[in-house]
Amino acid sequence: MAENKTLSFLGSLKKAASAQKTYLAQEETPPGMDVALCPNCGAGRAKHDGLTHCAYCGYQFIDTELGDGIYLKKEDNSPHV
Amino acid sequence: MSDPQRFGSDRAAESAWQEELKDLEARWFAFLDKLEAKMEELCSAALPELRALRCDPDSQQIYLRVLAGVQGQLSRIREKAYETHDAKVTDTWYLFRSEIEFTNPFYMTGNAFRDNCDERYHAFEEAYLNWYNLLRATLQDNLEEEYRQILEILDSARESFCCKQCGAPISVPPACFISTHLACPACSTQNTFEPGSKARELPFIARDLAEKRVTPFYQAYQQGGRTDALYRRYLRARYDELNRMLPDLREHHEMLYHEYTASHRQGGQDNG
Amino acid sequence: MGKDYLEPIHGISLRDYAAMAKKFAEGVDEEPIFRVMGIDRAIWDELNTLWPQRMAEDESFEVAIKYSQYFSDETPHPRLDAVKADVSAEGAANLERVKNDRYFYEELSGAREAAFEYGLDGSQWLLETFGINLADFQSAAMKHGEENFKIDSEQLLEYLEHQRKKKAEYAAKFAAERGGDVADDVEF
Repeated sequence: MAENKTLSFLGSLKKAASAQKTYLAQEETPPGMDVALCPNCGAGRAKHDGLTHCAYCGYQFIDTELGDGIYLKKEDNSPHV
Repeated sequence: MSDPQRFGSDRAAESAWQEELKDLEARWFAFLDKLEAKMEELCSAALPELRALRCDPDSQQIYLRVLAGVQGQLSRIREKAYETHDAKVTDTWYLFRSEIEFTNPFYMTGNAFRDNCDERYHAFEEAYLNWYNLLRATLQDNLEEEYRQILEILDSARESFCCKQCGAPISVPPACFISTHLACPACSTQNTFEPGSKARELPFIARDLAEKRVTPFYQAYQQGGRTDALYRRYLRARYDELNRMLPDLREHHEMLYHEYTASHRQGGQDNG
Repeated sequence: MGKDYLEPIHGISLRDYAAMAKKFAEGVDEEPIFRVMGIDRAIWDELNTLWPQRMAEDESFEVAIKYSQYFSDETPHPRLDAVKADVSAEGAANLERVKNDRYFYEELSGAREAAFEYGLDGSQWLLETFGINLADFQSAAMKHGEENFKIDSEQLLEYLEHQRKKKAEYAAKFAAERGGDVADDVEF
Protein backbone atom coordinates (compact mmCIF):
# COMPACT_ATOMS: atom_id res chain seq x y z
CA MET A 1 0.00 0.00 0.00
CA ALA A 2 2.01 2.86 -1.41
CA GLU A 3 -0.13 5.63 -0.02
CA ASN A 4 -0.05 4.20 3.46
CA LYS A 5 3.74 4.22 3.37
CA THR A 6 3.78 7.94 2.59
CA LEU A 7 1.15 8.72 5.19
CA SER A 8 2.83 6.65 7.85
CA PHE A 9 6.14 8.34 7.07
CA LEU A 10 4.51 11.76 7.45
CA GLY A 11 2.87 10.68 10.69
CA SER A 12 6.14 9.44 12.10
CA LEU A 13 7.93 12.57 10.90
CA LYS A 14 5.42 14.85 12.61
CA LYS A 15 5.58 12.80 15.79
CA ALA A 16 9.38 12.97 15.95
CA ALA A 17 9.39 16.68 15.09
CA SER A 18 6.85 17.40 17.83
CA ALA A 19 8.58 15.30 20.45
CA GLN A 20 11.99 16.93 20.09
CA LYS A 21 13.07 20.01 22.01
CA THR A 22 14.33 22.97 19.99
CA TYR A 23 17.98 23.90 20.55
CA LEU A 24 18.11 26.74 23.11
CA ALA A 25 14.32 27.03 23.08
CA GLN A 26 13.15 30.05 25.06
CA GLU A 27 9.92 30.55 26.95
CA GLU A 28 7.44 32.90 25.29
CA THR A 29 7.43 36.26 27.04
CA PRO A 30 4.91 39.11 26.81
CA PRO A 31 5.95 42.75 26.44
CA GLY A 32 6.63 44.51 29.73
CA MET A 33 7.86 47.64 31.47
CA ASP A 34 10.05 47.72 34.56
CA VAL A 35 12.32 50.02 36.51
CA ALA A 36 15.77 49.04 37.65
CA LEU A 37 16.43 50.23 41.18
CA CYS A 38 19.97 50.65 42.38
CA PRO A 39 20.97 47.36 44.06
CA ASN A 40 23.17 49.37 46.41
CA CYS A 41 20.89 52.17 47.67
CA GLY A 42 17.46 51.43 46.17
CA ALA A 43 17.17 54.67 44.23
CA GLY A 44 15.61 54.80 40.77
CA ARG A 45 17.43 56.21 37.77
CA ALA A 46 16.39 59.59 36.40
CA LYS A 47 16.90 60.60 32.77
CA HIS A 48 19.34 63.44 33.56
CA ASP A 49 21.44 61.19 35.78
CA GLY A 50 22.23 58.92 32.86
CA LEU A 51 22.08 55.14 32.65
CA THR A 52 25.55 54.12 33.65
CA HIS A 53 25.82 55.14 37.32
CA CYS A 54 23.49 55.68 40.27
CA ALA A 55 23.13 59.43 40.83
CA TYR A 56 22.86 58.93 44.58
CA CYS A 57 25.51 56.45 45.60
CA GLY A 58 27.63 56.23 42.44
CA TYR A 59 26.96 52.49 41.98
CA GLN A 60 27.94 51.40 38.51
CA PHE A 61 25.03 49.90 36.55
CA ILE A 62 26.88 49.71 33.27
CA ASP A 63 30.60 49.30 32.75
CA THR A 64 30.96 50.54 29.21
CA GLU A 65 30.69 53.84 27.44
CA LEU A 66 27.54 54.34 25.42
CA GLY A 67 27.81 55.73 21.90
CA ASP A 68 25.08 56.73 19.48
CA GLY A 69 23.11 53.58 18.77
CA ILE A 70 19.49 52.98 17.82
CA TYR A 71 17.78 54.28 20.97
CA LEU A 72 20.72 54.59 23.35
CA LYS A 73 22.78 57.77 22.86
CA LYS A 74 26.00 59.29 24.17
CA GLU A 75 23.92 61.59 26.39
CA ASP A 76 22.79 58.50 28.30
CA ASN A 77 26.23 58.16 29.90
CA SER A 78 26.06 59.40 33.47
CA PRO A 79 28.05 62.53 34.25
CA HIS A 80 31.30 61.53 35.98
CA VAL A 81 30.81 60.84 39.65
CA MET B 1 35.35 -0.34 -32.18
CA SER B 2 32.72 -2.99 -32.15
CA ASP B 3 33.12 -5.85 -29.73
CA PRO B 4 32.43 -9.09 -31.58
CA GLN B 5 32.60 -11.06 -28.31
CA ARG B 6 29.59 -9.17 -26.97
CA PHE B 7 27.01 -9.76 -29.68
CA GLY B 8 28.71 -11.73 -32.42
CA SER B 9 28.29 -10.10 -35.85
CA ASP B 10 27.76 -6.38 -36.36
CA ARG B 11 24.22 -6.94 -37.51
CA ALA B 12 23.40 -9.06 -34.48
CA ALA B 13 25.14 -6.55 -32.25
CA GLU B 14 23.03 -3.72 -33.58
CA SER B 15 19.85 -5.62 -33.19
CA ALA B 16 20.76 -6.57 -29.63
CA TRP B 17 21.59 -2.95 -28.89
CA GLN B 18 18.30 -1.85 -30.40
CA GLU B 19 16.41 -4.17 -28.06
CA GLU B 20 18.44 -3.18 -25.04
CA LEU B 21 18.10 0.55 -25.63
CA LYS B 22 14.38 0.29 -26.28
CA ASP B 23 13.91 -1.69 -23.10
CA LEU B 24 16.08 0.63 -21.00
CA GLU B 25 14.33 3.73 -22.32
CA ALA B 26 10.90 2.31 -21.52
CA ARG B 27 12.05 1.31 -18.04
CA TRP B 28 13.64 4.72 -17.43
CA PHE B 29 10.41 6.46 -18.41
CA ALA B 30 8.32 4.16 -16.24
CA PHE B 31 10.76 4.58 -13.36
CA LEU B 32 10.52 8.38 -13.47
CA ASP B 33 6.72 8.14 -13.80
CA LYS B 34 6.72 6.21 -10.55
CA LEU B 35 9.08 8.63 -8.81
CA GLU B 36 6.97 11.58 -9.98
CA ALA B 37 3.87 9.86 -8.64
CA LYS B 38 5.69 9.46 -5.30
CA MET B 39 6.59 13.15 -5.23
CA GLU B 40 3.01 14.06 -5.93
CA GLU B 41 1.67 11.68 -3.30
CA LEU B 42 4.16 12.95 -0.71
CA CYS B 43 3.67 16.65 -1.37
CA SER B 44 -0.10 16.50 -1.82
CA ALA B 45 -0.36 14.90 1.59
CA ALA B 46 2.27 17.14 3.21
CA LEU B 47 1.21 20.56 1.90
CA PRO B 48 -2.10 20.85 3.80
CA GLU B 49 -0.34 19.64 6.98
CA LEU B 50 2.45 22.16 6.51
CA ARG B 51 0.03 25.02 5.86
CA ALA B 52 -1.91 24.16 9.01
CA LEU B 53 1.28 24.01 11.11
CA ARG B 54 2.55 27.25 9.58
CA CYS B 55 -0.59 29.08 10.71
CA ASP B 56 -0.44 27.79 14.27
CA PRO B 57 1.65 30.22 16.33
CA ASP B 58 2.61 27.46 18.79
CA SER B 59 3.90 25.08 16.10
CA GLN B 60 6.49 27.14 14.26
CA GLN B 61 9.49 25.02 15.24
CA ILE B 62 7.61 21.80 14.48
CA TYR B 63 6.56 23.28 11.15
CA LEU B 64 10.19 23.99 10.22
CA ARG B 65 11.30 20.49 11.19
CA VAL B 66 8.48 18.79 9.28
CA LEU B 67 9.19 20.99 6.25
CA ALA B 68 12.86 19.94 6.35
CA GLY B 69 11.77 16.31 6.67
CA VAL B 70 9.49 16.49 3.63
CA GLN B 71 12.18 18.29 1.64
CA GLY B 72 14.56 15.52 2.76
CA GLN B 73 12.26 12.89 1.22
CA LEU B 74 12.05 14.91 -1.97
CA SER B 75 15.86 14.94 -2.00
CA ARG B 76 15.99 11.16 -1.52
CA ILE B 77 13.69 10.73 -4.55
CA ARG B 78 15.81 13.09 -6.60
CA GLU B 79 19.01 11.27 -5.58
CA LYS B 80 17.42 8.00 -6.62
CA ALA B 81 16.73 9.44 -10.08
CA TYR B 82 20.24 10.87 -10.29
CA GLU B 83 21.97 7.63 -9.32
CA THR B 84 19.82 5.58 -11.64
CA HIS B 85 20.41 7.97 -14.52
CA ASP B 86 24.11 7.55 -13.96
CA ALA B 87 24.01 3.79 -13.74
CA LYS B 88 21.44 3.00 -16.41
CA VAL B 89 21.49 5.84 -18.94
CA THR B 90 24.94 7.39 -18.85
CA ASP B 91 26.88 4.17 -18.38
CA THR B 92 24.90 2.48 -21.16
CA TRP B 93 25.54 5.41 -23.45
CA TYR B 94 29.28 5.19 -22.79
CA LEU B 95 29.30 1.48 -23.44
CA PHE B 96 27.34 2.02 -26.67
CA ARG B 97 29.82 4.66 -27.80
CA SER B 98 32.70 2.34 -27.10
CA GLU B 99 31.14 -0.32 -29.31
CA ILE B 100 29.46 1.58 -32.13
CA GLU B 101 31.56 3.78 -34.38
CA PHE B 102 30.60 7.41 -34.65
CA THR B 103 30.45 7.03 -38.44
CA ASN B 104 28.06 4.07 -38.28
CA PRO B 105 24.46 5.21 -39.13
CA PHE B 106 23.28 3.04 -36.23
CA TYR B 107 25.08 5.45 -33.90
CA MET B 108 22.04 7.74 -34.25
CA THR B 109 19.92 5.18 -32.41
CA GLY B 110 22.12 5.50 -29.37
CA ASN B 111 22.06 9.23 -29.69
CA ALA B 112 18.28 9.25 -29.78
CA PHE B 113 18.20 6.98 -26.71
CA ARG B 114 20.37 9.39 -24.78
CA ASP B 115 18.41 12.45 -25.93
CA ASN B 116 15.02 10.93 -25.10
CA CYS B 117 16.19 9.77 -21.68
CA ASP B 118 17.76 13.13 -20.89
CA GLU B 119 14.70 15.02 -22.00
CA ARG B 120 12.55 12.86 -19.74
CA TYR B 121 15.07 13.45 -16.93
CA HIS B 122 14.80 17.22 -17.39
CA ALA B 123 11.02 17.00 -17.15
CA PHE B 124 11.46 15.06 -13.90
CA GLU B 125 13.85 17.70 -12.56
CA GLU B 126 11.30 20.38 -13.40
CA ALA B 127 8.60 18.47 -11.56
CA TYR B 128 10.97 18.16 -8.59
CA LEU B 129 11.69 21.88 -8.62
CA ASN B 130 8.02 22.68 -8.83
CA TRP B 131 7.25 20.61 -5.71
CA TYR B 132 10.29 21.99 -3.93
CA ASN B 133 9.09 25.55 -4.59
CA LEU B 134 5.54 24.74 -3.51
CA LEU B 135 6.88 23.37 -0.21
CA ARG B 136 9.10 26.40 0.31
CA ALA B 137 6.25 28.77 -0.52
CA THR B 138 4.52 27.68 2.70
CA LEU B 139 7.18 29.71 4.52
CA GLN B 140 5.46 32.82 3.15
CA ASP B 141 1.96 31.62 4.00
CA ASN B 142 1.32 33.41 7.24
CA LEU B 143 3.60 36.45 7.04
CA GLU B 144 0.89 39.12 6.76
CA GLU B 145 -0.94 37.59 9.72
CA GLU B 146 2.22 37.28 11.81
CA TYR B 147 3.09 40.88 11.07
CA ARG B 148 -0.44 41.98 12.00
CA GLN B 149 -0.19 40.09 15.31
CA ILE B 150 3.12 41.73 16.19
CA LEU B 151 1.73 45.19 15.40
CA GLU B 152 -1.23 44.41 17.61
CA ILE B 153 1.04 43.36 20.48
CA LEU B 154 3.24 46.42 20.10
CA ASP B 155 0.32 48.83 19.66
CA SER B 156 -1.40 47.60 22.78
CA ALA B 157 1.92 47.86 24.65
CA ARG B 158 2.36 51.40 23.35
CA GLU B 159 -1.01 52.43 24.68
CA SER B 160 -0.96 50.65 28.00
CA PHE B 161 2.49 51.19 29.48
CA CYS B 162 2.84 53.57 32.38
CA CYS B 163 5.79 54.65 34.45
CA LYS B 164 6.48 52.10 37.19
CA GLN B 165 7.41 54.97 39.53
CA CYS B 166 4.62 57.54 39.08
CA GLY B 167 2.04 55.94 36.75
CA ALA B 168 2.24 58.54 33.98
CA PRO B 169 1.90 57.14 30.44
CA ILE B 170 5.17 56.44 28.67
CA SER B 171 5.40 56.50 24.93
CA VAL B 172 7.17 53.55 23.33
CA PRO B 173 8.68 54.15 19.86
CA PRO B 174 6.63 52.50 17.09
CA ALA B 175 7.87 49.08 15.97
CA CYS B 176 10.34 48.90 18.87
CA PHE B 177 11.43 45.27 18.68
CA ILE B 178 14.31 45.43 21.15
CA SER B 179 14.57 46.19 24.83
CA THR B 180 15.42 49.79 25.67
CA HIS B 181 15.33 52.45 28.38
CA LEU B 182 12.56 55.04 28.20
CA ALA B 183 12.36 58.04 30.50
CA CYS B 184 9.04 58.96 32.07
CA PRO B 185 7.94 62.37 30.70
CA ALA B 186 6.44 63.27 34.08
CA CYS B 187 8.96 62.17 36.73
CA SER B 188 11.95 61.45 34.46
CA THR B 189 12.51 57.95 35.91
CA GLN B 190 14.18 55.56 33.47
CA ASN B 191 11.87 52.66 32.72
CA THR B 192 13.04 49.59 30.81
CA PHE B 193 10.84 48.40 27.97
CA GLU B 194 10.85 44.73 26.94
CA PRO B 195 9.03 43.99 23.64
CA GLY B 196 8.48 40.29 24.43
CA SER B 197 9.42 37.22 22.44
CA LYS B 198 6.93 37.61 19.57
CA ALA B 199 7.80 41.24 18.79
CA ARG B 200 11.50 40.32 18.79
CA GLU B 201 10.84 38.39 15.58
CA LEU B 202 9.76 41.59 13.82
CA PRO B 203 12.95 42.26 11.80
CA PHE B 204 12.97 38.72 10.39
CA ILE B 205 9.28 38.75 9.53
CA ALA B 206 9.57 42.25 8.06
CA ARG B 207 12.44 41.16 5.83
CA ASP B 208 10.50 38.18 4.44
CA LEU B 209 7.24 40.10 4.17
CA ALA B 210 8.87 43.01 2.34
CA GLU B 211 10.33 40.53 -0.15
CA LYS B 212 6.94 38.91 -0.60
CA ARG B 213 5.17 42.23 -1.10
CA VAL B 214 7.57 43.44 -3.79
CA THR B 215 7.60 40.16 -5.76
CA PRO B 216 5.86 41.87 -8.76
CA PHE B 217 8.73 44.36 -8.94
CA TYR B 218 11.29 41.57 -8.87
CA GLN B 219 9.45 39.69 -11.61
CA ALA B 220 9.24 42.87 -13.71
CA TYR B 221 13.01 43.25 -13.30
CA GLN B 222 13.69 39.66 -14.30
CA GLN B 223 11.32 39.68 -17.26
CA GLY B 224 12.22 43.18 -18.39
CA GLY B 225 15.82 42.52 -19.35
CA ARG B 226 17.32 43.00 -15.88
CA THR B 227 17.99 46.68 -16.42
CA ASP B 228 19.42 49.07 -13.84
CA ALA B 229 16.23 51.12 -13.79
CA LEU B 230 14.02 48.09 -13.07
CA TYR B 231 16.44 46.84 -10.42
CA ARG B 232 16.43 50.23 -8.73
CA ARG B 233 12.63 50.30 -8.81
CA TYR B 234 12.50 46.85 -7.21
CA LEU B 235 15.04 47.75 -4.51
CA ARG B 236 13.32 51.08 -3.80
CA ALA B 237 10.03 49.23 -3.30
CA ARG B 238 11.75 46.70 -1.01
CA TYR B 239 13.41 49.30 1.21
CA ASP B 240 10.30 51.52 1.28
CA GLU B 241 8.43 48.55 2.67
CA LEU B 242 11.18 47.94 5.23
CA ASN B 243 11.29 51.62 6.18
CA ARG B 244 7.55 51.51 6.85
CA MET B 245 7.80 48.36 8.95
CA LEU B 246 11.06 49.22 10.76
CA PRO B 247 11.29 53.01 10.75
CA ASP B 248 14.17 53.08 13.24
CA LEU B 249 16.41 51.13 10.86
CA ARG B 250 15.92 53.55 7.95
CA GLU B 251 19.59 54.60 7.86
CA HIS B 252 20.70 50.96 7.47
CA HIS B 253 18.11 50.28 4.76
CA GLU B 254 19.20 53.32 2.76
CA MET B 255 22.81 52.22 3.05
CA LEU B 256 21.95 48.82 1.59
CA TYR B 257 19.84 50.42 -1.15
CA HIS B 258 22.77 52.56 -2.30
CA GLU B 259 25.23 49.72 -2.05
CA TYR B 260 23.14 47.28 -4.07
CA THR B 261 22.17 49.78 -6.76
CA ALA B 262 25.83 50.76 -7.15
CA SER B 263 27.05 47.16 -7.43
CA HIS B 264 24.33 46.36 -9.98
CA ARG B 265 25.35 49.41 -12.01
CA GLN B 266 28.92 48.11 -12.03
CA GLY B 267 27.70 44.88 -13.56
CA GLY B 268 27.56 42.96 -10.31
CA GLN B 269 24.90 40.41 -9.58
CA ASP B 270 21.53 41.27 -8.12
CA ASN B 271 21.12 40.97 -4.39
CA GLY B 272 17.62 39.56 -4.44
CA MET C 1 34.07 54.97 2.81
CA GLY C 2 33.39 57.24 5.80
CA LYS C 3 32.18 54.66 8.26
CA ASP C 4 34.68 52.71 10.35
CA TYR C 5 32.98 49.34 10.54
CA LEU C 6 35.36 47.98 13.15
CA GLU C 7 34.92 50.78 15.65
CA PRO C 8 33.39 49.46 18.91
CA ILE C 9 29.65 49.91 19.43
CA HIS C 10 28.73 51.18 22.90
CA GLY C 11 32.32 50.43 23.87
CA ILE C 12 32.02 46.76 22.80
CA SER C 13 34.50 45.59 20.18
CA LEU C 14 33.74 43.04 17.47
CA ARG C 15 35.88 40.54 19.40
CA ASP C 16 33.81 41.08 22.55
CA TYR C 17 30.60 40.80 20.57
CA ALA C 18 31.68 37.55 18.87
CA ALA C 19 32.77 36.09 22.22
CA MET C 20 29.38 36.99 23.75
CA ALA C 21 27.49 35.58 20.77
CA LYS C 22 29.44 32.35 21.19
CA LYS C 23 28.51 32.12 24.88
CA PHE C 24 24.83 32.56 23.97
CA ALA C 25 25.08 29.85 21.32
CA GLU C 26 26.73 27.56 23.89
CA GLY C 27 23.58 27.92 25.94
CA VAL C 28 24.94 30.15 28.74
CA ASP C 29 22.27 32.32 30.45
CA GLU C 30 22.25 36.01 29.61
CA GLU C 31 22.58 37.24 33.18
CA PRO C 32 26.20 36.13 33.84
CA ILE C 33 27.25 37.20 30.33
CA PHE C 34 25.86 40.70 30.83
CA ARG C 35 27.28 40.90 34.36
CA VAL C 36 30.87 40.14 33.43
CA MET C 37 30.69 42.42 30.39
CA GLY C 38 29.14 45.24 32.40
CA ILE C 39 26.19 45.73 30.07
CA ASP C 40 22.44 45.21 30.21
CA ARG C 41 19.94 43.66 27.83
CA ALA C 42 19.12 47.00 26.15
CA ILE C 43 22.78 47.39 25.21
CA TRP C 44 23.05 43.77 24.04
CA ASP C 45 19.94 44.19 21.87
CA GLU C 46 21.53 47.18 20.15
CA LEU C 47 24.82 45.31 19.68
CA ASN C 48 22.99 42.32 18.31
CA THR C 49 21.22 44.55 15.78
CA LEU C 50 24.03 46.93 14.87
CA TRP C 51 26.92 44.46 14.45
CA PRO C 52 24.96 42.28 12.00
CA GLN C 53 23.93 45.48 10.18
CA ARG C 54 27.58 46.36 9.74
CA MET C 55 28.33 42.88 8.44
CA ALA C 56 25.58 43.34 5.84
CA GLU C 57 26.75 46.83 4.86
CA ASP C 58 30.48 46.17 4.67
CA GLU C 59 31.21 45.30 1.04
CA SER C 60 34.72 44.09 1.84
CA PHE C 61 33.28 41.38 4.17
CA GLU C 62 36.05 42.23 6.63
CA VAL C 63 33.60 42.52 9.54
CA ALA C 64 32.00 39.16 8.78
CA ILE C 65 35.35 37.41 8.28
CA LYS C 66 36.79 38.84 11.51
CA TYR C 67 33.59 37.95 13.35
CA SER C 68 33.90 34.32 12.36
CA GLN C 69 37.61 34.29 13.30
CA TYR C 70 36.85 35.73 16.73
CA PHE C 71 33.96 33.31 17.15
CA SER C 72 36.26 30.32 16.68
CA ASP C 73 39.24 31.88 18.48
CA GLU C 74 40.20 29.68 21.41
CA THR C 75 42.20 32.35 23.24
CA PRO C 76 40.32 32.83 26.51
CA HIS C 77 38.36 36.08 26.58
CA PRO C 78 39.59 38.16 29.54
CA ARG C 79 36.12 38.56 31.02
CA LEU C 80 33.96 35.85 29.51
CA ASP C 81 36.30 32.96 30.21
CA ALA C 82 34.85 32.94 33.73
CA VAL C 83 31.41 32.09 32.33
CA LYS C 84 31.17 28.50 31.19
CA ALA C 85 28.47 26.36 29.63
CA ASP C 86 27.65 22.99 31.20
CA VAL C 87 29.50 20.36 29.20
CA SER C 88 29.45 16.67 30.17
CA ALA C 89 32.72 14.71 30.36
CA GLU C 90 31.63 12.74 27.31
CA GLY C 91 30.76 15.98 25.48
CA ALA C 92 34.18 17.43 26.28
CA ALA C 93 35.91 14.32 24.95
CA ASN C 94 33.80 14.36 21.78
CA LEU C 95 34.53 18.04 21.29
CA GLU C 96 38.28 17.43 21.50
CA ARG C 97 37.88 14.75 18.87
CA VAL C 98 35.76 16.97 16.60
CA LYS C 99 38.44 19.65 16.79
CA ASN C 100 41.39 17.34 16.12
CA ASP C 101 40.02 14.48 14.06
CA ARG C 102 38.82 15.78 10.70
CA TYR C 103 37.09 12.50 9.82
CA PHE C 104 35.07 12.59 13.03
CA TYR C 105 34.12 16.19 12.29
CA GLU C 106 32.97 15.21 8.78
CA GLU C 107 30.99 12.33 10.24
CA LEU C 108 29.12 14.59 12.65
CA SER C 109 28.54 17.21 9.93
CA GLY C 110 26.93 14.56 7.76
CA ALA C 111 24.98 13.19 10.71
CA ARG C 112 23.66 16.62 11.66
CA GLU C 113 22.53 17.24 8.08
CA ALA C 114 20.84 13.84 7.94
CA ALA C 115 19.04 14.62 11.22
CA PHE C 116 17.62 17.83 9.68
CA GLU C 117 16.45 15.87 6.65
CA TYR C 118 14.48 13.51 8.85
CA GLY C 119 12.62 16.19 10.78
CA LEU C 120 14.97 16.72 13.71
CA ASP C 121 16.65 19.86 15.00
CA GLY C 122 20.17 18.78 14.08
CA SER C 123 21.82 21.02 16.67
CA GLN C 124 19.68 19.67 19.48
CA TRP C 125 20.29 16.14 18.24
CA LEU C 126 24.04 16.75 18.27
CA LEU C 127 23.84 18.06 21.83
CA GLU C 128 21.71 15.15 23.02
CA THR C 129 23.68 12.46 21.20
CA PHE C 130 27.27 13.69 21.45
CA GLY C 131 27.09 16.39 24.16
CA ILE C 132 28.47 19.02 21.77
CA ASN C 133 26.77 22.40 21.67
CA LEU C 134 26.23 24.30 18.42
CA ALA C 135 28.71 27.07 19.26
CA ASP C 136 31.57 24.64 19.80
CA PHE C 137 30.60 22.69 16.69
CA GLN C 138 30.47 25.83 14.53
CA SER C 139 33.75 26.96 15.94
CA ALA C 140 35.35 23.61 14.98
CA ALA C 141 33.73 23.94 11.53
CA MET C 142 35.37 27.33 11.03
CA LYS C 143 38.73 25.93 12.10
CA HIS C 144 38.50 23.04 9.65
CA GLY C 145 37.21 25.44 7.00
CA GLU C 146 40.41 27.45 7.29
CA GLU C 147 42.41 24.26 6.84
CA ASN C 148 40.71 23.77 3.45
CA PHE C 149 42.89 26.50 1.97
CA LYS C 150 46.06 24.69 3.02
CA ILE C 151 45.41 21.13 1.89
CA ASP C 152 45.39 19.72 -1.64
CA SER C 153 42.13 19.17 -3.47
CA GLU C 154 42.45 15.38 -3.38
CA GLN C 155 42.58 15.42 0.40
CA LEU C 156 39.61 17.80 0.50
CA LEU C 157 37.59 15.52 -1.78
CA GLU C 158 38.40 12.60 0.48
CA TYR C 159 37.00 14.49 3.49
CA LEU C 160 33.87 15.41 1.57
CA GLU C 161 33.41 11.86 0.38
CA HIS C 162 33.71 10.68 3.99
CA GLN C 163 31.01 13.18 4.97
CA ARG C 164 28.75 11.98 2.14
CA LYS C 165 29.21 8.35 3.12
CA LYS C 166 28.55 9.02 6.79
CA LYS C 167 25.53 11.18 6.00
CA ALA C 168 24.06 8.28 4.02
CA GLU C 169 24.68 5.89 6.94
CA TYR C 170 22.94 8.17 9.43
CA ALA C 171 20.15 8.87 6.93
CA ALA C 172 19.51 5.13 6.63
CA LYS C 173 19.27 4.91 10.41
CA PHE C 174 16.83 7.83 10.65
CA ALA C 175 14.83 6.47 7.69
CA ALA C 176 14.44 3.14 9.49
CA GLU C 177 13.04 5.01 12.51
CA ARG C 178 10.40 6.52 10.20
CA GLY C 179 9.50 3.15 8.66
CA GLY C 180 11.69 3.64 5.56
CA ASP C 181 11.88 6.31 2.86
CA VAL C 182 8.67 6.88 0.94
CA ALA C 183 10.18 5.86 -2.40
CA ASP C 184 11.94 2.74 -1.09
CA ASP C 185 9.58 0.50 -3.04
CA VAL C 186 10.18 2.21 -6.39
CA GLU C 187 12.48 0.11 -8.50
CA PHE C 188 13.96 0.54 -11.94
